[in-house]
Amino acid sequence: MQGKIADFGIPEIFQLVTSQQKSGALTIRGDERETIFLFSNGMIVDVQPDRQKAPSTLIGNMLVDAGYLTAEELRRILSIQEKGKKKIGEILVEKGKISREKLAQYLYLQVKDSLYFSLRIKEGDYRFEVFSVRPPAWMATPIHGDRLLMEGMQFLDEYAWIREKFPPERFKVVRKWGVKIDPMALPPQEREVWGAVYFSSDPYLVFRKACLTWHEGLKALWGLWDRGLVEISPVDSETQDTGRAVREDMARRFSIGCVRAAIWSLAAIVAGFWVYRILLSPPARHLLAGWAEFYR
Amino acid sequence: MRSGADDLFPGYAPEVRAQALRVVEAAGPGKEEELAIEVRGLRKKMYSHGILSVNAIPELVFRRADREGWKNGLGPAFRLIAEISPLSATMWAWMVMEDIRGLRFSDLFPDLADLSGAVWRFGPARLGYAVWLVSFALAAACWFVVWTSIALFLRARPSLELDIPRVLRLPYRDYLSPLAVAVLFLLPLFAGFGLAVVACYWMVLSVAYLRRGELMLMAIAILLIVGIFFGGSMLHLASRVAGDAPGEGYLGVDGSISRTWPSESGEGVAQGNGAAPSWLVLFSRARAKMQAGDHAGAERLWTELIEAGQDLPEARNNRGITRAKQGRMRAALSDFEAAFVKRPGEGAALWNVYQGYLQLFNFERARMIQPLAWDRVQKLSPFRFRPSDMEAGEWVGSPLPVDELVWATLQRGHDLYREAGEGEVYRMFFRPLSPGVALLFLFAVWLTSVIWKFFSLRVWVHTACRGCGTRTLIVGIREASDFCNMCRMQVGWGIREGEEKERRIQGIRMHRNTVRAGSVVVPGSGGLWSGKEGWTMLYVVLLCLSLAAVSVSIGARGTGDILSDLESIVARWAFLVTGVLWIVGAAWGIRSFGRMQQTLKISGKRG
Repeated sequence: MQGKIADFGIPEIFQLVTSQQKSGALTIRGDERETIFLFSNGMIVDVQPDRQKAPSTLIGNMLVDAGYLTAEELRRILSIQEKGKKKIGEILVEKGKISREKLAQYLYLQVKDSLYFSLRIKEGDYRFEVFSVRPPAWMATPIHGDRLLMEGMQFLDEYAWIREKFPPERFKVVRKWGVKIDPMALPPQEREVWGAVYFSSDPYLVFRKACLTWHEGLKALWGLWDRGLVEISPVDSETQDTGRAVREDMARRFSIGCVRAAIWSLAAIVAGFWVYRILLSPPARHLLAGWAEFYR
Repeated sequence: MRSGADDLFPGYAPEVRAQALRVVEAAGPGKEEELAIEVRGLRKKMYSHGILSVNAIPELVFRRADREGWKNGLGPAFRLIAEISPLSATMWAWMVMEDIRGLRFSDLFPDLADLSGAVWRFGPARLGYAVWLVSFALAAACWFVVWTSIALFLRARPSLELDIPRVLRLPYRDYLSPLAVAVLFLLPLFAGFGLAVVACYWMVLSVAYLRRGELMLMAIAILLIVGIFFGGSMLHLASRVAGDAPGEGYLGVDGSISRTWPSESGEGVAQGNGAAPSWLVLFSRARAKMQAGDHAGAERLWTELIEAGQDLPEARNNRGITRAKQGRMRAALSDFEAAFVKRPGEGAALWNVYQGYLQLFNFERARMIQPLAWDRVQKLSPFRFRPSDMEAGEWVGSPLPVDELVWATLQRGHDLYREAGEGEVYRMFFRPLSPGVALLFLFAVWLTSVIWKFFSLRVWVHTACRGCGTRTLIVGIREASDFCNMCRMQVGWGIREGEEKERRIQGIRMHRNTVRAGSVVVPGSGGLWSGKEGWTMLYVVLLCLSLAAVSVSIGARGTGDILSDLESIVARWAFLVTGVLWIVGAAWGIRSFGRMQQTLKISGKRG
């Protein structure tokens, strides 16, 4: 089965494959990308994003963005992957870099990310090839394509409205200073974002850390902003030079560290003198060596 | 010559003083035979007056040897002198030390037994040993309290540096907060407060930020402060019981009679404070008169003592000697027999009974008791009576009943609290508290700590991550871990490249340097950061014991006597052990913290 997206939209294709519980590979081309979804009995079991055009949705890069891997570690693991036939997720779990549960969460995120992107494609084509697909080991419960589709459609509907709440250019997010809140009182996705805000001021990285798609993350962030828990501000030209800002901040922190070290060194000297005076000075010695008088 | 003997051996009979001086002069390397003759001469003169020990002799011989450079050859001389100075605990300690140094284990155990005998039978030695034990425990407790309070404050310092400026609403917090906390830290030191008050103040400031194991350390420290309170009181009480001159006076009458003690003007020296039992002082006065050769005066005092209700076998035995010296042998024998009947195990009285029968030419009775008398008198440790060498008229006196001292001290147990404030320890460690409120203050400290700890679980306070030093404002009761989110998620190595990583690396490095510096200055404190409170406690106990050994030994040096020489060795070893423990503690603290960071993947490295 193949055709043009303009004739038969992505939602319809997904509904068809899901309702008929087909197994096989659905390839979607559009917006200069090619994404392949694998189905098993109508359930989405895997996705292969475009390696060249959408590197940020590759599982390795997603984990780097979320802080679970360094770029260097990813490079090493990819070289191991090239030598063997294992998938990157399996290698990461085997090496203990990430738990099986966390991997499953990020693979689910990868599917969602790819689906939400695909839903926005207006021009392109699709092809569905029927063959038997076995669910991968990481997938405890296969993903219901129709359910995910509905969520995606809802996010796409709301996205324009939510996005216009935020500054139109690049923006950054920080926790509001002195705010006290019980995170358990927040909705789950807002709680995830709240917990991940410490990780970076870049909302894209915050959402990666919280294991949310851009659309989900933005909605949760709007909730936090609306509650007055975070501050959103455009990234100005000065702070866009992140290297300079970081250098200045680190220099300031270093100078504070030096001041602190000097103050506490002085305090240690005074305390040392005090300890000498109370336990080792001549009057203290006389006091503690009073027993010797009994033998003289 | 005579005046020299007067100065060196005050209080003894003139012929004893003269002979003692000859003993001191006879000692020397290779002069053992000459010394043995003089020792024999002195022993005879001592026994005839019921003198048991002249402790000044080993001290004078030691000083001579030290001055003339033959200190290492003192062993043979001391073995001979041991017969006339058996109650010199310092001499036995020196011989034990020499045995250890020369690996002479055949001599070591008998010498240890004699040291133990001297400590047991010589009043100042027994009380001095008790005071040493209390001083040592007190010094160790002081070091423990100092270590604990400073180490716990250092653990709480990062959080205090954010919370105190937050509460005080300080401007320029980044720079002023360390200053503010340092000022708070030093405030009680500049105010001149004592150790206990300062330590409590530091611990109360830290309590909100401590883990369970650290709270245990704090509780132990507070209990030890209570121990210091009562320990100081014990020292004060012991010094009162001993009198103004603990090594001399009424307590040291059987080894070192005070210069003034035998004279009438000096009779009140030790009695003046009223802490020693008056009958014990009377006993000492009688013994002093005996040893000075005033047997009539001594008999009067013994009779006074017996009539006053203290009809002790020792008093009877000693009165018997004074009577025998005045030629009233039958009366003397009756006293000896009375002493033996009162305490059949009394070896001295049995010997004197035997001697009495010999003097009265009652050889039949003498022969009957001779085997038992010989056996008993030889077993009197640390005295080295040799019946085969002893001639007629050599009496064995009874020393001060030192066991009574224990009772005297115990009977004053109720004074432990009442007189605690009058001791030097209290003035040094508890100022500015008045004596009546010290225990109340400690209870208040404990109560405040408990309340503040529970309260701090319900209000917003900062917590410093043990792994990376990141400080977070939390409500303690909701936070089960003292690691920050990033350390808990083990993203130390996995954190993405860029500004977050650079900042985190810098934070981790600064925290690591702080812990390392803290671990060097307060050795072992790194163990608290790595969560090993149990091992830290064990280490601190060892460190405090070695530091206590330094504290109690360095003050006893520098006087040039045997004890000073021994304490110089102890202090040297204690310094060495402390130094080694300090280095080991610093290295262990740094290493255990490093391993914890490694486990949590908190590397602080790039790439």
